[in-house]
Amino acid sequence: MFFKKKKEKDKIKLYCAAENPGSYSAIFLSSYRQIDIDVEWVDPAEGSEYSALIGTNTLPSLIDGKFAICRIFPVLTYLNIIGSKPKIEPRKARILAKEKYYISLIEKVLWVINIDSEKEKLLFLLDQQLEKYKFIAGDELTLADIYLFGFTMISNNDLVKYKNIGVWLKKMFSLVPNQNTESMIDGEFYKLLKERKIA
Amino acid sequence: MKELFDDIAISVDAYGADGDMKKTQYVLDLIGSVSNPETYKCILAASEQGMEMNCYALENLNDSQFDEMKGETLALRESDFIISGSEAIVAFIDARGLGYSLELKNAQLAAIQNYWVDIANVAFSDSVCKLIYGNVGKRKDKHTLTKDSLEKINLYLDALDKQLKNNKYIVCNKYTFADLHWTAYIHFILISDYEDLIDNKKNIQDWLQRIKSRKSQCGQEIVAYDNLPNKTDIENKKLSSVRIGDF
Repeated sequence: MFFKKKKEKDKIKLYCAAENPGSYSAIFLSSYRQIDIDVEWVDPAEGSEYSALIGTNTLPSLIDGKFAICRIFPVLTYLNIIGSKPKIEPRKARILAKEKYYISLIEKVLWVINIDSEKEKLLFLLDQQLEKYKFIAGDELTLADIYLFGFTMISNNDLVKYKNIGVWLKKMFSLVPNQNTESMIDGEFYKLLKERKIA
Repeated sequence: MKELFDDIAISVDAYGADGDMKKTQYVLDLIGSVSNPETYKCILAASEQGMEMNCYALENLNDSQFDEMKGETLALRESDFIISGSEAIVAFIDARGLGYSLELKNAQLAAIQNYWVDIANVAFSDSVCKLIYGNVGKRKDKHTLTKDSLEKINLYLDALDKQLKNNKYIVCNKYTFADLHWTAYIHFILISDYEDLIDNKKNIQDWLQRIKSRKSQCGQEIVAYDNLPNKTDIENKKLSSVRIGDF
């Protein structure tokens, strides 16, 4: 009996940037859904030929074998479907609508616009929302939480004053497998995040 | 916003008062602008999913009603639930609808779909809005802005034309969210007197013909595209409601 040795599948390569909130969202989702990824940190501002090809809008980018895709929305879509772990997919139409509503707000106000007063207004709203519910769109984890997580990793804002966001952030870290142990600091998730600027 | 909907919408009690049994369990009310592609997306989604939706033009609201919108330009109500923003409304209608969801199950196809949705919503829409509405308060003059926007729009349309070379629809041979989003923007360009932008784009023209004749996703005898406002509707500030007669 001869069996062909199954070719080991290459790991998914994820190109991320330290200042790019979507990069942290993609890393979080990969860790949450236990998808094996290799993260390569790139600097879109370094001035190399390679960096000229990538812009902040194209990151994170992903290569899985012959398939390549860029931009946060399609990358998260891909990472949310592949693998065997359950998808983050609200069943109820109202939760789904709220998820999209908050994603749109977080992306526009926290990720793109650089107006502190607008950011503070939204963070206050999200903090209130998290006082009532476990997660942003209700009592289940949605992609809106993953988007906010990305923002918290690059935020220079003082998030300490948002008590409920602080509690929620701890909860988010505890959702990543094997991170809520004593050796959490050595976990794969932290290794992936080690080059981020906010310690 | 609840008061506003109560004020302008048909009373729920009056719905179906003629005794007809309808499969639609929920009455959807939409407030949106007749000249906003985001509104068109919601109309397309409701038509595709066979959801009856009463539509009210933002342009016909009086000042106090307009203030009730609290800065939003698009809102949907279903019973006690109100949501704003086209992304949220389209997702809600798609999940509630009678037809199969437009969401793709295959990871690669779904990613490609959302890539095209993202390009439409973030990059293409920005250039389209600058072209049609102008860009008040910016340093560049209107002529420069128009030239810049036209160049960018042409670039995106070329890419779309290339993408449609081997596919019936944008992602594959199946109608997806990508088609819905691009239909809204391209229809907006066409009714804003920029038809010539797709003159040399044969694949886009063929795709548009398919969109204009395809039966809705829910399998009923309606063509979603027919529910979009035309030039006359824009002049008359008229937003047609989505009606499903074929249950």
